[in-house]
Amino acid sequence: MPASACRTSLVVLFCTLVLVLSCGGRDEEADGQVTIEFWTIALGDAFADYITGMIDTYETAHPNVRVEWVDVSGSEVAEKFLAALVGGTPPDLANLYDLPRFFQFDILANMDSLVSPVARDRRLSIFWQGMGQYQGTSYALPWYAGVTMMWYNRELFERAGLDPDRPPTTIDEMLAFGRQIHERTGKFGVSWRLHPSLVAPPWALLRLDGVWPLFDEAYTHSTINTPEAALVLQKWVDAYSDGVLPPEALAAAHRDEVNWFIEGRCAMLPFAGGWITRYFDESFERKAVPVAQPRGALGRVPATNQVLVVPRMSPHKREAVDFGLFVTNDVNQLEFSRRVAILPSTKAAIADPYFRREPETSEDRAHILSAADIPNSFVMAPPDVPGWSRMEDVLYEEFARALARDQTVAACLSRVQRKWDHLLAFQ
Amino acid sequence: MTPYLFVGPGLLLLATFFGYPVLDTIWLSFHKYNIFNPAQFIGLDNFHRAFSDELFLRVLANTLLYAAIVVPALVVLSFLLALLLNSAVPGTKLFRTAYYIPVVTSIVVAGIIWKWLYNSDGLLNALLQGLGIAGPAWLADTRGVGQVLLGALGIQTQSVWLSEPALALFSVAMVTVWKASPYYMIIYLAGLQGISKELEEAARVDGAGRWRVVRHVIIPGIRPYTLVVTIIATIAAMRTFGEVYVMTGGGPFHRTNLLSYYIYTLGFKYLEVGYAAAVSLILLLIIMLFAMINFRLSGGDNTN
Repeated sequence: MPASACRTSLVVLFCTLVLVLSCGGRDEEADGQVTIEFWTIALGDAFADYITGMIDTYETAHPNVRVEWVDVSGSEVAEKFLAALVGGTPPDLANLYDLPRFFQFDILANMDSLVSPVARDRRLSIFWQGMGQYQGTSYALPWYAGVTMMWYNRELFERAGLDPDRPPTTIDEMLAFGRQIHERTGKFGVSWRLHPSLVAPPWALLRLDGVWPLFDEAYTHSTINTPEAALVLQKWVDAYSDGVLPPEALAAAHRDEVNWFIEGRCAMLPFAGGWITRYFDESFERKAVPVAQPRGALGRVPATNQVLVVPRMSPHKREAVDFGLFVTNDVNQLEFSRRVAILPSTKAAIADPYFRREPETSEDRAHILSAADIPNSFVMAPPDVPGWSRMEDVLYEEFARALARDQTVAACLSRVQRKWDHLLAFQ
Repeated sequence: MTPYLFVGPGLLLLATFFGYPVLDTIWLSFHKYNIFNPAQFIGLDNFHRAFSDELFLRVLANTLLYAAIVVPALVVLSFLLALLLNSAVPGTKLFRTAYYIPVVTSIVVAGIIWKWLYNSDGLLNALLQGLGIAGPAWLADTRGVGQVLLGALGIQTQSVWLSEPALALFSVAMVTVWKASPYYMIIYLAGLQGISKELEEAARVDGAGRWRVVRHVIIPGIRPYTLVVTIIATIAAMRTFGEVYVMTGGGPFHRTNLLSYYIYTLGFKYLEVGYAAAVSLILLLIIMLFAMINFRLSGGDNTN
């Protein structure tokens, strides 16, 4: 073999070995040092100093723990988490979306047993029992939260002949105002999309108007097909037909509803967070006004909260939970809320006078409105039934048909109930 | 020994990143597997299930319709673009570069721009309104293209023959055509530049006009390129994912849902990995079948 070919082969062999060896998992180092991998969602650009500052503080106080921070895009975090689980190298602590698809497989550590009652009691119960709870067990630490308020466009209200200082206070009024806005201006009333909705998916529309629960206690049958549910869905079907909602609501994708509001296509945007003001330009900031979220028959407003989970297969569960409790403690959450208009999920942090400050900007006003509505909120967690992801898609499909007048609401509910019962029977 | 050492690394990569996943997909397709529990052998159940799964059949029909719209449109449009840009007029190089921009534009960016254009109160409908036509909600309209066209003429029909393809699917397909046609145009351009100028001149001397030169000299001359374009465009159309993911999420009620997106939903959202693998294999077989048909119909085995 010529010398050059031999050299090439050796280089290739060496590279292959390096590749193979570098695929090895993380492990506890010989001197007792523990490395935990921490995933956040889309915080890398704007909040890098906040996250690294927290990590530095924690590492100084815990010299045996090193935290490796990985920031992941929101649209792919669930897929990456799955891939990491399959590869046997999951993060030790991860901010995660779309939890229902993971709950039923028992892959997340049980926080009820890993978190002390004292630490648990420091968290607001609605968030402790919020997005991370499944069939009575908590699988997540609550992190920052959002309570839905509503943005509306004063200019479109004026053009539609509505009093711009009297926004709607109920969902029915919101839809009625939306009708008038569409009739008088040609614009749309409410920025809402069917799927995936940041604002209120179809099952949440039912809950907002008091139609809940959607299953019997034993999860053997669905209870969605009721006259009350039909009335609520019919209200939204009529609103869609009357131009209250944009036609694209049926086939929209991520963040479209925010864009529609900012583009001036829609006059009202129910939304959890004042942080969207970062997308407003100066002229739009003058038009957009935050108010409390209009109420449905339930009288409460939807809230969401981010969560941190620890995979059961993590070798450093205790350390990960300890670091997770540090990230979500009063001080760190309050500091985070000062940097961006989000809400903390701990009792002491939300009691801080910062959330009752005199507002200077519309972002401040939105922030304070959201904070004030925490006691009136419910966490928009989906039913904790196995196989919910598929059931939710069934509801989306059938409700979309009803919205498009491809079937009646009665047929929609009947088909949803039949398909849900079928899926329940095969769990 | 030396040749093997040279091809070894390439083969190793191919085996790792192509061979193994294909074999693993075949293995998975015979199992019930959700990632977190051990795989359970179920024979051909996943394949039986696919052909009794209403949603799979609907998505398969959507995908075939999509390919039926996209592939002929791409073949014709790319060829016409290539013909235009093959002439020696000033600025040709600039136009070739400009036309290629959609290919290198991210589908996310392209999808967002097209959604603005397609909005019910977007630019496209504003142009139609200028002509006195009320534009539809392009991405949300589930009526057939034929029904929409007749509707614009004041004729309302519920005919099932005109109910497919849905306008929403057609609108998504047009984005694919816009984005991909410059790529195929480059292939055609390469083909056109390989056609002997003497042949064209001889045809003209014999009295052939522009159209007859195209029909009797150019089209037969680029036949191998048409075969390549058809096969690549068919495969690409059957695997379309980005346009659906960015623009419609498969809605309204699955009218724009295509096989790749359905496989993604099954595998990553419902964690039905075995079933997703079976559907992937069915897609692979369909693509192979189309490639073979194209090859045969185009006389590909006789071309060099």
